[in-house]
Amino acid sequence: MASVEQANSGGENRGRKKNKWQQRKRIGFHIDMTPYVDVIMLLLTFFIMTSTLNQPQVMQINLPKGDENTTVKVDMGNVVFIRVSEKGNIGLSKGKSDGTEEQPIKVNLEQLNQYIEKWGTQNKDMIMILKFHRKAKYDLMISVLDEINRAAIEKRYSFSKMEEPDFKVLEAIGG
Amino acid sequence: MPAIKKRVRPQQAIDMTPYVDVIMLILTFFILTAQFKAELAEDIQVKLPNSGNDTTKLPERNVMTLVINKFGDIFADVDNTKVREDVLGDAIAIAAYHPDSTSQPGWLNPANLNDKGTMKRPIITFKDREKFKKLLIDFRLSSKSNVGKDLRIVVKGDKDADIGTVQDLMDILKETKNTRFSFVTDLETDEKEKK
Repeated sequence: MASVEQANSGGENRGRKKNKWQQRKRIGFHIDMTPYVDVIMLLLTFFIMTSTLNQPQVMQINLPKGDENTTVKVDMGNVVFIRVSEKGNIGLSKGKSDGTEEQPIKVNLEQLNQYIEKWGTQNKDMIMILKFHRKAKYDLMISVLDEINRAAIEKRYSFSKMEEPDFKVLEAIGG
Repeated sequence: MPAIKKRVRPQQAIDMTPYVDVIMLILTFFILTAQFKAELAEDIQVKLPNSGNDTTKLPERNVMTLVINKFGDIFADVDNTKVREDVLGDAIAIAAYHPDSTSQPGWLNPANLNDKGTMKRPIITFKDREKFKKLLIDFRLSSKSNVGKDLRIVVKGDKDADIGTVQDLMDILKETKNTRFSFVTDLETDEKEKK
């Protein structure tokens, strides 16, 4: 490249006189960028590897304040029981105003969402009581809570301990 | 000039400038967004459950993390070393409690806790429920006096943990008047495939 340019300028010199600025053509130089790029690439790789892209999310839970012994009286007609058995079956049943409850139905997560959304829009005072078997998996608990959060209703739920009568209810849907 | 000149191939130089520009942009992006993993995250591994519509992000500072692994252990940790030093007497220690008396704590075998099989941080075990409750209260009080900010509580449970352990922890939280806390979840990405 440089030799070509020099030959050119030499030829022009022989001819008519040129502008002072055009005559002095600077020889182009270039920096070898390869080591620079190598370092940059290393840095880039490091940051890509160490960055955590999906920041975990959180599910906000508010437990009721107050003592274990403070009981709140609720109308059984507004209560919906969601029970989760050891095997991971979900039993859903509605309470009746006389203190008893309807036959439980076995649902999957999607049906659970549909039922509570339907019942929640029919009855604005609906309260969900969640009873989980101690040996059931935490993953399922989050899924159930997620379905409740996803439903377009007012979310009122409370956690409750699973007791002897609950096991009997769960047996009706296959344990 | 000789009639036949050796044809010298002109050296080809690719202009790297635009390439470097782009790389630099990407590099800047990653430097700015980088958040280094907390020490705890690598020490006790849990598989987070997925959830679909939680939009709140995990708070970055002043967090008390309660990790539940699949062996039913509860680990309590705060992100501030001063608070740790103050409450546990060791700046890098982590507190552990196993609520279920019928099973063995998982931390007895370090291979249970992470892939590496070693714990970088010393574990301070709590046998007594009341002492563990006091620890949680102490963490919050210490944070208030040392940092001037209250702790936010996050519960990081393993997918395969028993709900019983989570319930025990929830009882403890309730008894220590920590009624606001959050469960850490991963965003559900393949939600449609699942259904």
